[in-house]
Amino acid sequence: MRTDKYILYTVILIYYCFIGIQLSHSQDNWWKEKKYKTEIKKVKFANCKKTFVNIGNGINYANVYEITPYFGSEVYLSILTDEKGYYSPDQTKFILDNFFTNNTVNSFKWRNSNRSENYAFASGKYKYNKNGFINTYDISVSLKYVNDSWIIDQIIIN
Amino acid sequence: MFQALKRINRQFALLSGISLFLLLSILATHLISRYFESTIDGNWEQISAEKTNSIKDECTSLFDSYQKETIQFSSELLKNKKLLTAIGNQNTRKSYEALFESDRVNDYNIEIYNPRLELFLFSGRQIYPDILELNRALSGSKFTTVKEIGFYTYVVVFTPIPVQQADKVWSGKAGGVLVTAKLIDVRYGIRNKFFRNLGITQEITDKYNISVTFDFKPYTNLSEYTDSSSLKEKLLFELKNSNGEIMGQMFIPQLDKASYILDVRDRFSNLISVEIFILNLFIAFLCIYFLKKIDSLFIRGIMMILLVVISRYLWLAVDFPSKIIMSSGLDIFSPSHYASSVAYGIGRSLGELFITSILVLIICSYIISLVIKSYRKEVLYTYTYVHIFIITLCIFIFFLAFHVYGGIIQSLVYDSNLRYFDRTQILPTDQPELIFMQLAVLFISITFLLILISCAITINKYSSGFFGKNILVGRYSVIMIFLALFIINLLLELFDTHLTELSLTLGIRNLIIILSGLLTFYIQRKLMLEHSFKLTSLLNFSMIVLACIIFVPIVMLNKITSQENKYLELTAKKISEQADDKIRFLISSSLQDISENPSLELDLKNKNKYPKLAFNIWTQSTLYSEDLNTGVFILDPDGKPVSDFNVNPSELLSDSVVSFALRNIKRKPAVPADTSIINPDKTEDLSEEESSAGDEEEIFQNREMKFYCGIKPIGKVNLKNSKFKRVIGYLVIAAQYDAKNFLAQSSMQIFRNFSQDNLINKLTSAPVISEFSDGELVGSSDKDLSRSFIKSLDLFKESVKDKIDKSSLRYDQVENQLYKSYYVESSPVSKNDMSPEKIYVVSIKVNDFNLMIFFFFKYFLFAIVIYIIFIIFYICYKLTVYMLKPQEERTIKFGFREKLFVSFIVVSVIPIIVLAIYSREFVKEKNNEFYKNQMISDLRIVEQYVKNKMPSLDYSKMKTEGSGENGVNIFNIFGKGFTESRKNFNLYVKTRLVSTTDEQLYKSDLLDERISGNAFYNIALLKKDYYAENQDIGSLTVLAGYKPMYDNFNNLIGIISSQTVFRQNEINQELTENLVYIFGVYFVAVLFLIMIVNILSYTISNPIIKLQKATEQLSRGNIEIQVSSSSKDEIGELVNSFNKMTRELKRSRAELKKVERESAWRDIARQVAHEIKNPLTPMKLAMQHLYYAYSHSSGDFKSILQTTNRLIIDQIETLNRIATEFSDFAKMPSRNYQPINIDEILLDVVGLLNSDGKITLKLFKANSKSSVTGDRDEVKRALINIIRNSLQAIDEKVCDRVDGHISIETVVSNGFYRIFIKDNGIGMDEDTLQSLFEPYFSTKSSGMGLGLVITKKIIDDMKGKIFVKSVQNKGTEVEIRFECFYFPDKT
Repeated sequence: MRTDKYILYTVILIYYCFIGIQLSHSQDNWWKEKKYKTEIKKVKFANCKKTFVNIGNGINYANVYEITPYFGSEVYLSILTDEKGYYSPDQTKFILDNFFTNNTVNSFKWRNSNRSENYAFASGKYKYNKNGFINTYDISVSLKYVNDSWIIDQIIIN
Repeated sequence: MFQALKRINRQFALLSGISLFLLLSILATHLISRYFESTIDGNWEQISAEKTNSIKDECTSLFDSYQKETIQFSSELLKNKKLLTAIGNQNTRKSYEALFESDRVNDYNIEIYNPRLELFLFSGRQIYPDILELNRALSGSKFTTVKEIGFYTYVVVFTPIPVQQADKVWSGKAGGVLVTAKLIDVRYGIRNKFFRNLGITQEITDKYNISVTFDFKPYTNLSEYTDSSSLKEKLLFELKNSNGEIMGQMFIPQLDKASYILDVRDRFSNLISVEIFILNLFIAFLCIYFLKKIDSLFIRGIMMILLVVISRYLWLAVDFPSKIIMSSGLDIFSPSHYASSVAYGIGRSLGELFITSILVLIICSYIISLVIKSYRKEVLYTYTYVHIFIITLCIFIFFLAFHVYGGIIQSLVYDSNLRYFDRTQILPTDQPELIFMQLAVLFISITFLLILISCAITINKYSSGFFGKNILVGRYSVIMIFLALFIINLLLELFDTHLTELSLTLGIRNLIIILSGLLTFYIQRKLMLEHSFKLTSLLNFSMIVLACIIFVPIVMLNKITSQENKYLELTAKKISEQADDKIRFLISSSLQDISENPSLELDLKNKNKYPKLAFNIWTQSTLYSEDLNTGVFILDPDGKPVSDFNVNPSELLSDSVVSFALRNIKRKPAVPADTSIINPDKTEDLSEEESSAGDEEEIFQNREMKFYCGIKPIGKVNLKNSKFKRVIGYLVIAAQYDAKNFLAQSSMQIFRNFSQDNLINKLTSAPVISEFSDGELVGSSDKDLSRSFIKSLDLFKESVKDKIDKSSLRYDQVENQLYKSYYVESSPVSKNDMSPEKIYVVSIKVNDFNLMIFFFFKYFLFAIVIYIIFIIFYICYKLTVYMLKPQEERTIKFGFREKLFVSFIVVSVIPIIVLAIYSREFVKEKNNEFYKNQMISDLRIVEQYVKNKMPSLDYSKMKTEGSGENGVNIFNIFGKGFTESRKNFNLYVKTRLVSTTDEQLYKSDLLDERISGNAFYNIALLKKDYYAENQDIGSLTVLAGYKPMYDNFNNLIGIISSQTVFRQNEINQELTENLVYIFGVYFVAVLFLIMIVNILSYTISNPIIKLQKATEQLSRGNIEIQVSSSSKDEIGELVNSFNKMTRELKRSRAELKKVERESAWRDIARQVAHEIKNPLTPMKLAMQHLYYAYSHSSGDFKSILQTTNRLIIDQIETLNRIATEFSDFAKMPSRNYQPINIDEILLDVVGLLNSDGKITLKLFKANSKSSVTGDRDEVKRALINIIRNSLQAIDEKVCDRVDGHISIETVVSNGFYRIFIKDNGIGMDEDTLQSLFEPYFSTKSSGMGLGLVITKKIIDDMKGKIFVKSVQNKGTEVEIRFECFYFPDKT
């Protein structure tokens, strides 16, 4: 009986560990870790991930100021069918702010990503609340590697 | 004073009352909003049901109205006897004739079928009616249905045609079927710029802000939807036709309580924001009212600025007026057009910038009015160093204004997303945002000019001391100041440091300095001549606007072209990036998204959906919004294409893509799922470094054809009794990565929503893009030009050898034209990459003179239109004011000069306007004719080509096999040469399209595969040799030309057509450019004419007006007046005679004066003698009496001596007084005219005369800083004289035991300084009043009667007026009136 109890505890522990691993893993599912030969590349892509995470947080909390540091001199925006084109950082800030205000965010999660030497892309699901309905938009963000830092090249919301 | 206070109190009370009322109403609105919210909360179910019902009713009625319109149109057609007879006789030609008689035939799609259900007549697009439906209609029933054809939804009415002739009755059936269809909705992503505001869904969304969806699928069963999760949130309603049959369903989203309450709250908050705005206005009025009471102009200016800034931020806080304007549909408050975070969000959008620019203009107008006011005032400080400081400050502000202005315009241009070079329209009506931007720029420019003028006027005022009294220098001091500013400007250019950078180029700065100098000179002259000069007159406004019109387009163009470098760089880098990863990602994410869509599998099973399937997929994917040549291909399990859509088939060859994709996917099972092996061409070295490449999508690169493609199997279905799965089809997506994507955008633009997203649209003119590989030209948009850049490649490589950023800007001289080019070297990403290095060059013309002229004229025309609109408003305002005036005051005076001006203008400008209108029509006509002729010649060549290419073309086979109902089985007879010409050609056999150069136009349903009804009628039935018509694709109108093809036996074998779909933009551009040049030149001519006419009318009318003014002066007694005129004509002679007359008058007046003076002296001498005699007699008698007393030793001698002494002294005093008064009257002391404050003098006088306590003197001062020009002592003397007379008048009455008081009040109004002196003395009778100012008239026993005469003379000399009113025994009122600021010396 006693042994059974221990077995049960062990199973529960393993189960939780597994769930925990699963959960922690599922958070990072969108970012597939790869092995890099050089330390420079490792840092470079770690920065890239960090940039995406920060942008993701900005979107998740509808806080445009977390995204603004990553704007280049021009950002290509495509928001549904309304806004499309190259915008200045100021414009981008106001447009995104406008978008966040009109589509109150429920949650945002990165879904998948892709990266190379000078480019990185990630797309995610943006759940928002409008007129009492919860709907989703796809947000994809592409980053460009310029002067040792990752800056936003495009933001596409469909 | 009491009256003035009362007036103040009344106005103040009114304004405060209204403000209080508004405050209360804001509170009330807020409470009402809360009440509404609670009511909604309580009765939500009822409200929601009512609201949903009303929306449902509205939607149904909207739908019904479309239905009714179509039914009505059908009935109207069937009432046309001619048409019915023609149909009965089976006469197609006559039927068409009758059909086209109807006006609305172009709004509907019409098909008429004969009793055998063969298509007999058609107009508009194909409707594809069902055979069952036709049969039903033929059997006599009239009904309505809804059809979805491509992305269009039509309401279709089937009407049986009544039988006309009894012998042609077809076994009891109708005489045919009339099918009419009206477009009611446009679906899918194709809702592009031509269809943006079209369709029933759009109408309902606009009206209720809810997304209603319709489902018109035939045979839909309600049960299909019951378990759909989306249905739980939506209400379903059925749409029925006139027969009560269900045509489709309408889904209305269930109303959400929270959002409904938010909506209500929003409306109330809108109302509150308006109320706050009005309250703000009234408070502003109150503030301005109190501002007037502040004496210091500086503090007034500062307060005004504060007031406006606070108001502006208050508006921003309550979202006024952005909320209201946005809800009306104008989206100028969206940051997508312009946004900047400067000034703490004051320009968050274009609308806010526009409002701010108006407010800044108001502030500056106020400041310049203060500057003009202060110009007339005496300088406050007389120290030279203060003057030098002020002048330096003004010069600093003057140049700072240039810097700030340039910066602002640069920021406007850089931060905006507008197409400044839209060449398709003269006025940017398609782009209303640009109108607001240009207006904002105009307002800011006017503000800038006003600041410059204010600075110059202030410099002029404070520098006048340095110029001395030299009139010539004083008059032209403005010119000298501007000369100095001009030189400073040139010097600033020499010190090329960051501090002296003025944001504007030297030439533009010089131009602005010259323009502002001219304006300042004009204003300064006016200030000197007119003492009531105001800047806010129509003429001054026009001159300032004219100056702005000249320099604003130049400044804007300069800024836009300077911005061009940035876009040139961006374009070059974009092209060089190649963006492999981006394209991969795009394709893989599109593949994933599309394959996840469950409807794709369903659609694949339905063969009817094939033709438009690929296009629908394309519009729903992200590919739709990319600057790439993309294609979507759907293959069956055997790899045979069933549906495809390719944006630019000539660049991305469909066959190559499909075969390449299939070849690669067949290789796949043989190798492990590793992208590096699947894709051997992959340039990345990631495979080496990454242990597990996670890409599951199969993306292949074709280096030869420069495209990437991805393939994915669709819907794997389990096979029975087998572990294998069956694929029902493949989805292939391809994207081309060639630099050419940036070159030919026209075909892509047709399908897309926006054109402004394109980088190239931001460049001023079309760039030349060249691609070099190893020094060889491999791709170009203009080969000849690109070859010229080869020689610069080595130089470029040399220059970027040591740089990390391998790019640079360079200017090249090619074919006598300067080009600026941005060179970018695209180096291989990794060492393993053996691909040759590439250099991309993007070049653009520099100093494009045509472009400058075009932009200048375009802005010029825009400003003229705005000016004309303003003038119309101004005239309306003036007319309203005029109409509101009382009848007796309604007089409009047109002077001689105005009449002359108007008649000259009518004679000179009207012909030009007529000519301009005629030229416009002529150019339009010529343009149309030119394109028609070009089309005819093109069609001729194509006809020959088609005949040669297919001499043995089996047309009859093509007719049957060609295209089926929805089929796009089209022969490709047009070669690559046709597609490169960017002209669209089509070949029709009978009515069907059999071959075309642009399949995608038909696959996307933008164009119909059937020939237009009009063209068929004209070509096939009327046998015309050529026919052209305008066709509409949504809001885009294109020209379509048709030409018949005959065989050797003169039988019509086909029709060739051409449409200007891709070239329509070009055609519009050319027309606009021509019109801009014509109108621009005409308007410049008109402007010059107006100026010349103004000068002419001035020269002609000026002597006459001068003469008229001189006559007026003469009648007022100024005989010194002389009129100068250099003309030798009749008017000159008239002026000379006038001058002669005045000289004569002056001479005779002088003689008369002399005689008068002599007689006066005689009178005076006599009077003086008499006056002197009077005291002399008693003196003589007294002396005689004294002597007598002395000689007779009178004992009373001492007392006699005393009496005599007193008497003589008294008499001597009298004599002395007589002498003083006499000399006072006679002497002309030198005067010292200066601005004097009469209030202060009155205070002195009252203090002097108030010593006697019996009579009370009260002084009510106006407390105004206004001054009068005069001699201080003289004015004091005059006032003492008048007040003393009042005192004496009371003294005489005091005997009657009445309390005496004198009130002295000063009032400043309408430019006059008025003094009222009232007493309650004895008063005067009528006779005394009449001779009050006559010399030697006096009612007093003592005095010579010269006091008032002297007073009047003093007042007259100051150009003042004195009025006396008096009632005997009640009192007298004297009014003295002076003009404020009068310079008697200068007139």
